[in-house]
Amino acid sequence: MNNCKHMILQQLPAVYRRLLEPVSFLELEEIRFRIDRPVLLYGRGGYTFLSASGGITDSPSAACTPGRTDMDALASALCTSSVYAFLNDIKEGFLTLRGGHRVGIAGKCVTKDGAVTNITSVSGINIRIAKAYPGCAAELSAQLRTDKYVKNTLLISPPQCGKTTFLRDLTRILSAEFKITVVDERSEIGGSYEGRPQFDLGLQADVLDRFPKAPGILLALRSLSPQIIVTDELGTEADCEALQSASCSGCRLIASIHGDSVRGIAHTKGRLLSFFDTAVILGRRNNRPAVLQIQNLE
Amino acid sequence: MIKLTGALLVIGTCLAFALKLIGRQRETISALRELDTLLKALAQNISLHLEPLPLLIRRLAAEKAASAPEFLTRLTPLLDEDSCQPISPLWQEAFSAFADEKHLPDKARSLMNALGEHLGQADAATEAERLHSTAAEIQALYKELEQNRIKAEKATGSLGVLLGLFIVILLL
Repeated sequence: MNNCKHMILQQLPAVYRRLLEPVSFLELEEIRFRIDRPVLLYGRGGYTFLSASGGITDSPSAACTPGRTDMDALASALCTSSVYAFLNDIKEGFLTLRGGHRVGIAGKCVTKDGAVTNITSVSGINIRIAKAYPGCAAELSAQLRTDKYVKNTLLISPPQCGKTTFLRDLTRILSAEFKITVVDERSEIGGSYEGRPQFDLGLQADVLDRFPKAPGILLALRSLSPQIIVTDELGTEADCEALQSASCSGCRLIASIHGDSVRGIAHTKGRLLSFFDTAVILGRRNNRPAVLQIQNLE
Repeated sequence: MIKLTGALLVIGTCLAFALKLIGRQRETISALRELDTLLKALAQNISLHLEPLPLLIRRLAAEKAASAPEFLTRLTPLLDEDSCQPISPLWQEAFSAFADEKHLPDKARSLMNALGEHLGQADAATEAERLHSTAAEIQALYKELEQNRIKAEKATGSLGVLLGLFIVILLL
Protein backbone atom coordinates (compact mmCIF):
# COMPACT_ATOMS: atom_id res chain seq x y z
CA MET A 1 0.00 0.00 0.00
CA ASN A 2 2.95 2.28 0.69
CA ASN A 3 4.06 1.68 -2.85
CA CYS A 4 0.56 2.51 -4.12
CA LYS A 5 0.56 5.71 -2.07
CA HIS A 6 4.03 6.65 -3.25
CA MET A 7 3.06 5.99 -6.87
CA ILE A 8 -0.01 8.18 -6.65
CA LEU A 9 1.71 10.98 -4.76
CA GLN A 10 4.57 11.22 -7.20
CA GLN A 11 2.07 11.92 -9.97
CA LEU A 12 0.55 14.87 -8.10
CA PRO A 13 1.80 18.45 -7.85
CA ALA A 14 4.11 19.12 -4.91
CA VAL A 15 1.44 20.91 -2.88
CA TYR A 16 -0.93 17.91 -2.83
CA ARG A 17 1.96 15.53 -2.27
CA ARG A 18 2.76 17.43 0.90
CA LEU A 19 -0.87 17.58 2.06
CA LEU A 20 -1.59 13.91 1.37
CA GLU A 21 1.66 12.60 2.84
CA PRO A 22 0.21 12.13 6.38
CA VAL A 23 -2.99 10.48 5.03
CA SER A 24 -3.26 6.70 5.28
CA PHE A 25 -4.15 5.11 1.94
CA LEU A 26 -5.10 1.76 3.49
CA GLU A 27 -8.84 2.38 3.51
CA LEU A 28 -8.84 5.24 1.00
CA GLU A 29 -10.91 4.61 -2.13
CA GLU A 30 -11.22 7.97 -3.82
CA ILE A 31 -9.71 11.44 -3.66
CA ARG A 32 -12.10 14.02 -5.09
CA PHE A 33 -10.97 17.46 -6.15
CA ARG A 34 -13.69 19.92 -7.10
CA ILE A 35 -13.09 23.52 -8.00
CA ASP A 36 -13.76 25.89 -5.08
CA ARG A 37 -14.91 22.96 -2.94
CA PRO A 38 -13.04 21.11 -0.20
CA VAL A 39 -11.04 18.08 -1.28
CA LEU A 40 -12.85 14.93 -0.15
CA LEU A 41 -11.27 11.64 0.83
CA TYR A 42 -13.63 8.69 0.47
CA GLY A 43 -13.22 5.42 2.31
CA ARG A 44 -14.94 3.11 4.77
CA GLY A 45 -18.29 4.07 3.29
CA GLY A 46 -17.95 7.78 4.14
CA TYR A 47 -15.71 10.77 3.58
CA THR A 48 -13.43 13.19 5.37
CA PHE A 49 -11.72 16.35 4.13
CA LEU A 50 -8.12 16.94 3.17
CA SER A 51 -6.81 19.51 5.60
CA ALA A 52 -5.23 22.68 4.22
CA SER A 53 -2.29 22.03 6.53
CA GLY A 54 -1.95 18.37 5.61
CA GLY A 55 -3.64 15.19 6.79
CA ILE A 56 -7.36 14.79 7.32
CA THR A 57 -9.93 17.00 9.00
CA ASP A 58 -13.63 16.76 9.72
CA SER A 59 -14.15 20.47 9.24
CA PRO A 60 -14.84 21.72 5.70
CA SER A 61 -13.65 25.19 6.67
CA ALA A 62 -10.19 23.81 7.52
CA ALA A 63 -10.04 21.84 4.31
CA CYS A 64 -7.90 22.47 1.27
CA THR A 65 -10.01 24.10 -1.46
CA PRO A 66 -8.51 24.09 -4.95
CA GLY A 67 -9.08 27.06 -7.23
CA ARG A 68 -8.80 27.40 -11.00
CA THR A 69 -4.99 27.49 -11.06
CA ASP A 70 -4.76 24.48 -8.74
CA MET A 71 -7.15 22.44 -10.87
CA ASP A 72 -5.22 23.32 -14.04
CA ALA A 73 -1.91 22.44 -12.39
CA LEU A 74 -3.36 19.17 -11.11
CA ALA A 75 -4.78 18.23 -14.52
CA SER A 76 -1.50 19.10 -16.20
CA ALA A 77 0.50 17.08 -13.67
CA LEU A 78 -1.73 14.04 -14.09
CA CYS A 79 -1.15 14.27 -17.85
CA THR A 80 2.61 14.60 -17.22
CA SER A 81 2.43 17.89 -19.15
CA SER A 82 1.57 15.88 -22.26
CA VAL A 83 -2.11 16.33 -23.07
CA TYR A 84 -1.65 14.79 -26.53
CA ALA A 85 -0.60 11.48 -24.97
CA PHE A 86 -3.83 11.21 -22.98
CA LEU A 87 -6.27 12.95 -25.27
CA ASN A 88 -8.01 9.76 -26.38
CA ASP A 89 -8.67 8.99 -22.73
CA ILE A 90 -9.58 12.56 -21.84
CA LYS A 91 -12.26 12.45 -24.54
CA GLU A 92 -13.73 9.52 -22.65
CA GLY A 93 -13.49 11.47 -19.40
CA PHE A 94 -10.72 9.59 -17.66
CA LEU A 95 -6.98 9.02 -17.42
CA THR A 96 -5.10 6.01 -16.14
CA LEU A 97 -2.19 6.72 -13.85
CA ARG A 98 0.87 4.60 -13.32
CA GLY A 99 -0.29 1.85 -11.00
CA GLY A 100 -3.62 1.47 -12.80
CA HIS A 101 -5.35 4.18 -10.77
CA ARG A 102 -8.24 5.73 -12.66
CA VAL A 103 -8.74 9.48 -12.76
CA GLY A 104 -12.21 10.71 -13.70
CA ILE A 105 -12.43 14.21 -15.17
CA ALA A 106 -15.30 16.67 -15.15
CA GLY A 107 -15.20 19.94 -17.05
CA LYS A 108 -16.28 21.77 -20.14
CA CYS A 109 -16.77 19.60 -23.18
CA VAL A 110 -15.34 20.59 -26.56
CA THR A 111 -17.11 18.93 -29.47
CA LYS A 112 -16.57 18.73 -33.19
CA ASP A 113 -19.18 17.28 -35.53
CA GLY A 114 -21.03 15.98 -32.51
CA ALA A 115 -18.06 14.07 -31.12
CA VAL A 116 -16.21 14.98 -27.92
CA THR A 117 -12.71 16.19 -28.84
CA ASN A 118 -11.50 17.46 -25.47
CA ILE A 119 -12.46 18.41 -21.93
CA THR A 120 -11.25 21.85 -20.88
CA SER A 121 -11.80 24.10 -17.83
CA VAL A 122 -11.49 21.05 -15.61
CA SER A 123 -13.83 21.45 -12.65
CA GLY A 124 -13.62 18.05 -11.02
CA ILE A 125 -10.97 15.34 -10.71
CA ASN A 126 -11.66 12.04 -9.03
CA ILE A 127 -8.72 9.76 -8.34
CA ARG A 128 -10.00 6.22 -7.83
CA ILE A 129 -7.39 4.20 -6.05
CA ALA A 130 -7.05 0.82 -7.72
CA LYS A 131 -6.47 -1.98 -5.30
CA ALA A 132 -5.78 -5.62 -5.84
CA TYR A 133 -7.11 -8.08 -3.31
CA PRO A 134 -5.30 -11.25 -4.34
CA GLY A 135 -7.46 -14.21 -3.41
CA CYS A 136 -10.76 -12.33 -3.24
CA ALA A 137 -12.10 -14.37 -6.17
CA ALA A 138 -10.69 -17.74 -5.07
CA GLU A 139 -14.04 -19.06 -3.89
CA LEU A 140 -15.86 -17.63 -6.88
CA SER A 141 -13.40 -19.12 -9.37
CA ALA A 142 -14.01 -22.56 -7.89
CA GLN A 143 -17.74 -22.09 -8.27
CA LEU A 144 -17.37 -21.06 -11.90
CA ARG A 145 -15.41 -24.15 -12.89
CA THR A 146 -16.91 -27.10 -14.72
CA ASP A 147 -15.05 -30.34 -15.38
CA LYS A 148 -12.88 -28.95 -18.15
CA TYR A 149 -13.87 -25.38 -18.63
CA VAL A 150 -15.06 -22.24 -16.96
CA LYS A 151 -18.64 -21.05 -17.23
CA ASN A 152 -19.33 -18.00 -19.37
CA THR A 153 -19.71 -15.50 -16.56
CA LEU A 154 -21.14 -12.03 -16.33
CA LEU A 155 -20.29 -9.95 -13.25
CA ILE A 156 -23.04 -7.44 -12.49
CA SER A 157 -22.78 -4.59 -10.01
CA PRO A 158 -23.23 -0.86 -9.54
CA PRO A 159 -20.02 1.25 -9.61
CA GLN A 160 -17.53 0.76 -6.76
CA CYS A 161 -18.61 -2.78 -5.93
CA GLY A 162 -15.54 -4.56 -7.19
CA LYS A 163 -16.27 -5.68 -10.76
CA THR A 164 -12.76 -4.89 -11.88
CA THR A 165 -11.19 -6.23 -8.70
CA PHE A 166 -12.96 -9.57 -9.15
CA LEU A 167 -12.20 -9.71 -12.88
CA ARG A 168 -8.54 -9.07 -12.12
CA ASP A 169 -8.34 -11.77 -9.49
CA LEU A 170 -10.32 -14.27 -11.57
CA THR A 171 -7.86 -13.66 -14.41
CA ARG A 172 -4.90 -14.16 -12.10
CA ILE A 173 -6.30 -17.42 -10.70
CA LEU A 174 -7.57 -18.91 -13.95
CA SER A 175 -4.52 -17.99 -15.99
CA ALA A 176 -2.58 -20.61 -14.08
CA GLU A 177 -4.56 -23.14 -16.10
CA PHE A 178 -6.03 -21.39 -19.14
CA LYS A 179 -4.75 -19.08 -21.85
CA ILE A 180 -6.51 -15.80 -21.21
CA THR A 181 -6.75 -12.63 -23.25
CA VAL A 182 -7.80 -9.53 -21.36
CA VAL A 183 -9.39 -6.91 -23.59
CA ASP A 184 -8.71 -3.97 -21.34
CA GLU A 185 -10.39 -1.03 -23.02
CA ARG A 186 -9.71 1.41 -20.20
CA SER A 187 -6.53 -0.09 -18.75
CA GLU A 188 -8.40 -0.87 -15.57
CA ILE A 189 -8.03 -4.63 -15.29
CA GLY A 190 -4.30 -4.76 -15.89
CA GLY A 191 -3.68 -1.12 -15.07
CA SER A 192 -1.09 -1.10 -17.85
CA TYR A 193 1.28 1.79 -17.92
CA GLU A 194 3.63 2.12 -20.85
CA GLY A 195 2.66 -1.38 -21.95
CA ARG A 196 3.39 -3.03 -18.62
CA PRO A 197 0.46 -4.38 -16.55
CA GLN A 198 0.75 -2.97 -13.05
CA PHE A 199 -1.31 -5.78 -11.53
CA ASP A 200 -0.46 -9.45 -11.42
CA LEU A 201 -2.66 -11.18 -14.00
CA GLY A 202 -0.94 -14.53 -13.73
CA LEU A 203 1.10 -16.70 -16.00
CA GLN A 204 -0.93 -17.05 -19.18
CA ALA A 205 -2.70 -13.71 -19.58
CA ASP A 206 -2.19 -11.45 -22.59
CA VAL A 207 -3.43 -7.89 -22.25
CA LEU A 208 -4.87 -5.97 -25.19
CA ASP A 209 -4.45 -2.59 -23.61
CA ARG A 210 -6.81 0.25 -24.63
CA PHE A 211 -8.34 -1.90 -27.37
CA PRO A 212 -11.99 -1.13 -27.98
CA LYS A 213 -13.85 -4.26 -26.86
CA ALA A 214 -15.28 -5.40 -30.19
CA PRO A 215 -12.12 -5.21 -32.34
CA GLY A 216 -10.07 -6.41 -29.35
CA ILE A 217 -12.18 -9.55 -28.95
CA LEU A 218 -12.00 -10.28 -32.67
CA LEU A 219 -8.24 -9.71 -32.76
CA ALA A 220 -7.79 -12.00 -29.76
CA LEU A 221 -9.77 -14.75 -31.48
CA ARG A 222 -7.78 -14.39 -34.70
CA SER A 223 -4.31 -14.22 -33.30
CA LEU A 224 -3.97 -15.05 -29.61
CA SER A 225 -5.94 -18.33 -29.41
CA PRO A 226 -7.38 -17.62 -25.97
CA GLN A 227 -9.37 -20.18 -24.02
CA ILE A 228 -10.97 -17.39 -22.02
CA ILE A 229 -11.57 -13.76 -22.95
CA VAL A 230 -11.92 -11.31 -20.09
CA THR A 231 -13.33 -7.84 -20.61
CA ASP A 232 -15.19 -5.21 -18.65
CA GLU A 233 -18.14 -2.86 -18.90
CA LEU A 234 -20.05 -4.40 -21.77
CA GLY A 235 -22.90 -2.46 -23.23
CA THR A 236 -22.92 -1.64 -26.92
CA GLU A 237 -24.39 -3.49 -29.87
CA ALA A 238 -20.87 -3.93 -31.28
CA ASP A 239 -19.91 -5.71 -28.06
CA CYS A 240 -22.79 -8.15 -28.65
CA GLU A 241 -21.57 -8.95 -32.16
CA ALA A 242 -18.04 -9.58 -30.91
CA LEU A 243 -19.33 -11.72 -28.04
CA GLN A 244 -21.29 -13.76 -30.52
CA SER A 245 -18.12 -14.45 -32.54
CA ALA A 246 -16.28 -15.41 -29.37
CA SER A 247 -19.09 -17.60 -28.21
CA CYS A 248 -19.26 -19.41 -31.60
CA SER A 249 -15.52 -20.03 -31.52
CA GLY A 250 -15.80 -22.03 -28.30
CA CYS A 251 -13.88 -19.45 -26.33
CA ARG A 252 -15.16 -18.79 -22.80
CA LEU A 253 -16.17 -15.31 -21.71
CA ILE A 254 -15.84 -13.54 -18.41
CA ALA A 255 -17.10 -9.98 -18.47
CA SER A 256 -18.65 -7.28 -16.34
CA ILE A 257 -21.50 -4.86 -16.75
CA HIS A 258 -22.99 -2.02 -14.75
CA GLY A 259 -26.31 -2.96 -13.17
CA ASP A 260 -27.85 -4.25 -10.00
CA SER A 261 -29.77 -7.34 -11.07
CA VAL A 262 -30.19 -9.84 -13.88
CA ARG A 263 -33.73 -8.57 -14.34
CA GLY A 264 -32.46 -5.03 -14.87
CA ILE A 265 -29.93 -6.19 -17.46
CA ALA A 266 -32.54 -8.39 -19.17
CA HIS A 267 -34.77 -5.36 -19.44
CA THR A 268 -32.21 -3.08 -21.10
CA LYS A 269 -29.60 -5.36 -22.68
CA GLY A 270 -31.33 -8.71 -22.85
CA ARG A 271 -29.30 -10.02 -25.78
CA LEU A 272 -26.08 -9.83 -23.81
CA LEU A 273 -27.37 -12.36 -21.29
CA SER A 274 -27.71 -15.02 -23.99
CA PHE A 275 -23.91 -15.31 -24.18
CA PHE A 276 -23.46 -16.18 -20.51
CA ASP A 277 -24.16 -19.22 -18.35
CA THR A 278 -23.84 -17.53 -15.00
CA ALA A 279 -24.43 -14.09 -13.58
CA VAL A 280 -22.58 -13.02 -10.46
CA ILE A 281 -24.14 -10.12 -8.58
CA LEU A 282 -21.56 -8.11 -6.67
CA GLY A 283 -22.15 -5.62 -3.91
CA ARG A 284 -20.52 -4.35 -0.75
CA ARG A 285 -20.38 -6.19 2.54
CA ASN A 286 -18.58 -4.61 5.51
CA ASN A 287 -17.53 -1.85 3.15
CA ARG A 288 -15.71 -4.30 0.93
CA PRO A 289 -16.65 -5.71 -2.48
CA ALA A 290 -18.32 -9.09 -2.11
CA VAL A 291 -20.26 -11.70 -4.08
CA LEU A 292 -23.93 -11.28 -3.17
CA GLN A 293 -25.50 -13.86 -5.43
CA ILE A 294 -24.65 -16.32 -8.19
CA GLN A 295 -27.46 -16.88 -10.65
CA ASN A 296 -27.69 -19.56 -13.29
CA LEU A 297 -28.68 -18.19 -16.71
CA GLU A 298 -28.81 -21.45 -18.67
CA MET B 1 59.04 50.96 -39.51
CA ILE B 2 57.20 51.80 -36.30
CA LYS B 3 54.05 52.68 -38.26
CA LEU B 4 54.28 49.43 -40.18
CA THR B 5 54.67 47.42 -36.97
CA GLY B 6 51.70 49.27 -35.46
CA ALA B 7 49.56 48.47 -38.48
CA LEU B 8 50.68 44.85 -38.28
CA LEU B 9 49.62 44.64 -34.65
CA VAL B 10 46.21 46.22 -35.39
CA ILE B 11 45.53 43.89 -38.30
CA GLY B 12 46.73 40.91 -36.24
CA THR B 13 44.38 41.79 -33.40
CA CYS B 14 41.47 42.26 -35.83
CA LEU B 15 42.25 38.90 -37.38
CA ALA B 16 42.36 37.13 -34.03
CA PHE B 17 39.08 38.77 -33.04
CA ALA B 18 37.45 37.81 -36.36
CA LEU B 19 38.64 34.22 -36.02
CA LYS B 20 37.21 34.05 -32.51
CA LEU B 21 33.88 35.40 -33.77
CA ILE B 22 33.81 32.89 -36.59
CA GLY B 23 34.53 30.08 -34.14
CA ARG B 24 31.69 31.26 -31.94
CA GLN B 25 29.40 31.52 -34.97
CA ARG B 26 30.28 27.96 -35.96
CA GLU B 27 29.35 26.82 -32.47
CA THR B 28 26.04 28.72 -32.62
CA ILE B 29 25.20 27.29 -36.02
CA SER B 30 26.00 23.78 -34.89
CA ALA B 31 23.80 24.25 -31.76
CA LEU B 32 20.94 25.52 -33.92
CA ARG B 33 21.32 22.57 -36.29
CA GLU B 34 21.15 20.26 -33.28
CA LEU B 35 17.99 21.98 -32.08
CA ASP B 36 16.43 21.70 -35.53
CA THR B 37 17.09 17.95 -35.59
CA LEU B 38 15.85 17.53 -32.03
CA LEU B 39 12.59 19.38 -32.67
CA LYS B 40 11.94 17.25 -35.75
CA ALA B 41 12.64 14.09 -33.76
CA LEU B 42 10.25 15.24 -31.03
CA ALA B 43 7.55 16.00 -33.61
CA GLN B 44 7.98 12.62 -35.27
CA ASN B 45 7.90 10.70 -32.00
CA ILE B 46 4.89 12.58 -30.69
CA SER B 47 2.97 11.85 -33.89
CA LEU B 48 3.95 8.19 -34.02
CA HIS B 49 4.07 7.07 -30.41
CA LEU B 50 2.03 9.60 -28.40
CA GLU B 51 4.69 9.15 -25.74
CA PRO B 52 4.46 11.58 -22.79
CA LEU B 53 7.16 14.27 -22.92
CA PRO B 54 9.21 13.29 -19.86
CA LEU B 55 9.48 9.69 -21.10
CA LEU B 56 10.15 10.78 -24.66
CA ILE B 57 12.89 13.22 -23.67
CA ARG B 58 14.55 10.63 -21.43
CA ARG B 59 14.33 7.99 -24.15
CA LEU B 60 15.80 10.25 -26.84
CA ALA B 61 18.62 11.24 -24.50
CA ALA B 62 19.33 7.59 -23.68
CA GLU B 63 19.15 6.43 -27.30
CA LYS B 64 21.54 9.08 -28.54
CA ALA B 65 23.76 8.55 -25.46
CA ALA B 66 27.11 10.21 -26.16
CA SER B 67 25.87 12.06 -29.24
CA ALA B 68 22.69 13.36 -27.56
CA PRO B 69 21.97 17.02 -28.31
CA GLU B 70 23.41 19.14 -25.53
CA PHE B 71 20.05 20.72 -24.84
CA LEU B 72 18.61 17.27 -24.08
CA THR B 73 21.45 16.41 -21.76
CA ARG B 74 20.75 19.64 -19.89
CA LEU B 75 17.00 19.05 -19.76
CA THR B 76 17.02 15.37 -18.76
CA PRO B 77 18.50 15.76 -15.25
CA LEU B 78 15.83 18.36 -14.46
CA LEU B 79 13.08 15.81 -15.12
CA ASP B 80 13.06 14.23 -11.72
CA GLU B 81 11.41 10.83 -12.05
CA ASP B 82 9.86 11.06 -8.60
CA SER B 83 8.04 14.30 -9.13
CA CYS B 84 5.81 15.80 -11.72
CA GLN B 85 6.90 19.37 -12.24
CA PRO B 86 5.35 21.16 -15.20
CA ILE B 87 7.63 20.75 -18.20
CA SER B 88 7.46 24.38 -19.36
CA PRO B 89 9.67 26.01 -16.68
CA LEU B 90 12.15 23.13 -16.88
CA TRP B 91 12.36 23.51 -20.65
CA GLN B 92 12.96 27.25 -20.28
CA GLU B 93 15.53 26.79 -17.52
CA ALA B 94 17.48 24.23 -19.53
CA PHE B 95 17.27 26.30 -22.69
CA SER B 96 18.37 29.50 -21.01
CA ALA B 97 21.60 27.88 -19.80
CA PHE B 98 22.14 26.22 -23.17
CA ALA B 99 21.51 29.45 -25.10
CA ASP B 100 23.93 31.41 -22.89
CA GLU B 101 26.66 28.89 -23.41
CA LYS B 102 26.16 28.63 -27.16
CA HIS B 103 25.61 32.37 -27.64
CA LEU B 104 22.30 31.76 -29.40
CA PRO B 105 20.64 34.81 -30.95
CA ASP B 106 17.64 36.41 -29.24
CA LYS B 107 15.32 35.18 -31.97
CA ALA B 108 16.21 31.55 -31.22
CA ARG B 109 15.64 32.19 -27.53
CA SER B 110 12.22 33.68 -28.06
CA LEU B 111 11.23 30.89 -30.47
CA MET B 112 12.26 28.13 -28.09
CA ASN B 113 10.77 29.81 -25.04
CA ALA B 114 7.46 30.33 -26.82
CA LEU B 115 7.50 26.67 -27.85
CA GLY B 116 8.33 25.55 -24.30
CA GLU B 117 5.55 27.64 -22.83
CA HIS B 118 2.85 25.69 -24.67
CA LEU B 119 4.61 22.37 -25.12
CA GLY B 120 2.44 19.36 -24.36
CA GLN B 121 -0.80 21.29 -24.03
CA ALA B 122 -2.43 20.36 -27.33
CA ASP B 123 -3.27 17.34 -29.42
CA ALA B 124 -0.54 15.46 -31.25
CA ALA B 125 -1.17 17.08 -34.65
CA THR B 126 -0.94 20.59 -33.21
CA GLU B 127 2.15 19.71 -31.19
CA ALA B 128 3.87 18.27 -34.25
CA GLU B 129 2.90 21.32 -36.31
CA ARG B 130 4.28 23.70 -33.66
CA LEU B 131 7.51 21.74 -33.41
CA HIS B 132 7.92 21.64 -37.19
CA SER B 133 7.22 25.34 -37.58
CA THR B 134 9.73 26.23 -34.83
CA ALA B 135 12.23 23.89 -36.45
CA ALA B 136 11.68 25.65 -39.80
CA GLU B 137 12.34 29.05 -38.20
CA ILE B 138 15.44 27.73 -36.46
CA GLN B 139 16.58 26.34 -39.79
CA ALA B 140 16.07 29.70 -41.51
CA LEU B 141 18.01 31.32 -38.68
CA TYR B 142 21.03 29.06 -38.98
CA LYS B 143 21.04 29.32 -42.75
CA GLU B 144 21.20 33.10 -42.41
CA LEU B 145 23.98 32.78 -39.85
CA GLU B 146 25.75 30.36 -42.15
CA GLN B 147 25.76 32.95 -44.95
CA ASN B 148 27.04 35.59 -42.55
CA ARG B 149 29.75 33.21 -41.48
CA ILE B 150 30.83 32.59 -45.08
CA LYS B 151 31.02 36.35 -45.66
CA ALA B 152 32.95 36.81 -42.43
CA GLU B 153 35.34 34.03 -43.41
CA LYS B 154 35.99 35.72 -46.77
CA ALA B 155 36.66 39.03 -45.03
CA THR B 156 38.93 37.31 -42.57
CA GLY B 157 40.73 35.64 -45.43
CA SER B 158 41.38 39.06 -47.01
CA LEU B 159 42.55 40.36 -43.67
CA GLY B 160 44.92 37.41 -43.42
CA VAL B 161 46.34 38.17 -46.88
CA LEU B 162 46.81 41.80 -45.89
CA LEU B 163 48.58 40.73 -42.73
CA GLY B 164 50.79 38.42 -44.75
CA LEU B 165 51.71 41.30 -47.11
CA PHE B 166 52.58 43.55 -44.20
CA ILE B 167 54.81 40.89 -42.73
CA VAL B 168 56.58 40.43 -46.08
CA ILE B 169 57.05 44.19 -46.40
CA LEU B 170 58.31 44.35 -42.85
CA LEU B 171 60.80 41.59 -43.47
CA LEU B 172 62.06 43.19 -46.68
